[in-house]
Amino acid sequence: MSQPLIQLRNVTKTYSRGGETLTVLDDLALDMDAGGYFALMGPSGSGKTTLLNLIGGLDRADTGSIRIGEDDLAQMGTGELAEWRSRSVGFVFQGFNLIPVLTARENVELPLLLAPLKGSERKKRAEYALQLVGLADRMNHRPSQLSGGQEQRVAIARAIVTDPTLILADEPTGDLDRASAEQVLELLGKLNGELKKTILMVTHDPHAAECAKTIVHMDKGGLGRIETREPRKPSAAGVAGR
Amino acid sequence: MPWRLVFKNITKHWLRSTLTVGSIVLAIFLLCLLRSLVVALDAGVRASAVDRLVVQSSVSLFVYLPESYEAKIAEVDGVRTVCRWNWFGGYYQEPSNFFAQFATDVDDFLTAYPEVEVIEGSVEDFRRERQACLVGADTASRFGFKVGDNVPLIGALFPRTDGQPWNFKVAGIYRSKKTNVDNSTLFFHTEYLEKALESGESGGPSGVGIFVVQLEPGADRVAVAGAIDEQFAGGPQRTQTNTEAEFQAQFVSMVGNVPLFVSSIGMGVMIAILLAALNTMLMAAREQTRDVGVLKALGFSDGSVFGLMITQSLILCGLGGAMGILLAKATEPVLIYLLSTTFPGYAVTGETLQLAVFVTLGIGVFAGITPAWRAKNLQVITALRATA
Repeated sequence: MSQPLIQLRNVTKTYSRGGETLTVLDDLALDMDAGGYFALMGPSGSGKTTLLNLIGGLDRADTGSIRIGEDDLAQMGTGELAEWRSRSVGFVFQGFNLIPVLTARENVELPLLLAPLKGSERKKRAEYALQLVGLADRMNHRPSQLSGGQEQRVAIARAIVTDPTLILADEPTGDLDRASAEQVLELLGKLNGELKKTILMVTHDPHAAECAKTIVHMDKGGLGRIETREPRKPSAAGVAGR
Repeated sequence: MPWRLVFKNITKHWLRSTLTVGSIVLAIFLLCLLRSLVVALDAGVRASAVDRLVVQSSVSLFVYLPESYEAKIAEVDGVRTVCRWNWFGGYYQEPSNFFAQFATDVDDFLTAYPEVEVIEGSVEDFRRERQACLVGADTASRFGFKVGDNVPLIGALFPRTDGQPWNFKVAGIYRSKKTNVDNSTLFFHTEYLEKALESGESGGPSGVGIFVVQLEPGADRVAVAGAIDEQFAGGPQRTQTNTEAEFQAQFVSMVGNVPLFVSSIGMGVMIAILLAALNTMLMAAREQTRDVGVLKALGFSDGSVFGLMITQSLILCGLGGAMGILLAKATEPVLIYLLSTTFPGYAVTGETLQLAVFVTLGIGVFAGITPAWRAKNLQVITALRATA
């Protein structure tokens, strides 16, 4: 039996706010297999984004262990964790988080600056990633010159350009209209289906969650039911045509 | 290092960046200018000869000593030559065309001042002709004086009774190899002045302003100075004998503590610009908080982010500093010309340029280190939540 890609054991995370200690994640245990497409659902404050941040190495758990493949994140120093993120994880954020002064291609090229690559190779890879998300003709546009859907596709291109094992998406369709959201979901489905990327998506939107193979429900810092289902096939064309 | 990001962050607010660079250009230019003025003031002191003493009245530099002192000073053990110097205080055509003129004993002057090199004309002509003069290269260039020219000077301190100007013939143009003698002075024969005073052709004070004493090789400066002052301790005028360096320093201090004053102004300007640059960098860093979060999320280390912020500061300040230094060097010839009378020896030296580079880097590091340190220690989650 193969080992899960993501292994969480007894993970607890608390925050202090106004002198009070809030337990956001409480003794959480969860396994996620490689190649899966997971949606984390739950009400606000249920700990979805916190869990995503912990799995992505953006934050640290108070107790417990988080293993991604062979890597134990709790054992890594800040520098090691940054280096691990650069090669193992691609992030897609709700607010896109593109650097406004850079063009689409320059934004996608950013993570490659950490790899020992020549400028021409970086450029080639960035252009290829943008082609994959259907933005070959928008490479030299700045984020302010793109629509929300296009910005999120640039962010996806940036997330996949280093060919990471894991893609973490925090409300990737939260700021998008229906048609753009479907395009983004279609793209995430493709990354999972064709490129075999493991995807973990936090979402409020049941319609978006239906595109995942597994839906993990969270509530008050703990796990609820876990549904494994046949994913819905998003259809941007269908929405746009209505 | 994401250089493109560095460049684009700098050019994003081009007006703000231009104004910041402009203020640093001005600051570094002023630093070079003020430092060069201090160096010019100090140059004479530093380049002073160790084998020369200056004898003046102990009352004041403006009190004349009797002519008879020359022979008595010459008798003191260790004295090689004694040379009279009298301030003439004239001007060329207009009072604004002022430059220093001294009546001196030409033979002794040429012996005591080997650093004065005649670059055009003839030393012999200068020795031979009573109305001959030796003009500094800067003054010759300023007024277009050439060898053989007649230079009329209005004697303010020694006015001619016929109301006419004094006439001097340019026998040579000199350039000093050391900064203790500037290149803007006119030297002429004491005899020319003496005869005019004796014959009543000119009014003015009699006596000698200062005696410049050249020492015998190996002579003890302190002992000789003491012997000279002791000789005149009983009057009619008591003397004060100093080394040339002490005399120059005293001359500089007569106009107040200029180096301290000038340095204080320079320091004030620097602090103001430093705070302005710091403010700019803090504003830029605040705007880039979310970008810092994105970079860290993508895997850029804390060190890289620190480097990114401080590099932006160093580039802005470096650009301003380089332009300030270039401006100081570019304006150097003009300032040498304009300041030749008040600050002879003005020059933007290598030491001044080194100081300017050091200060530029200092401003860059100081302005960049706080935002860089903040960015380095920023939590990714906190940075990503920041509003742009």
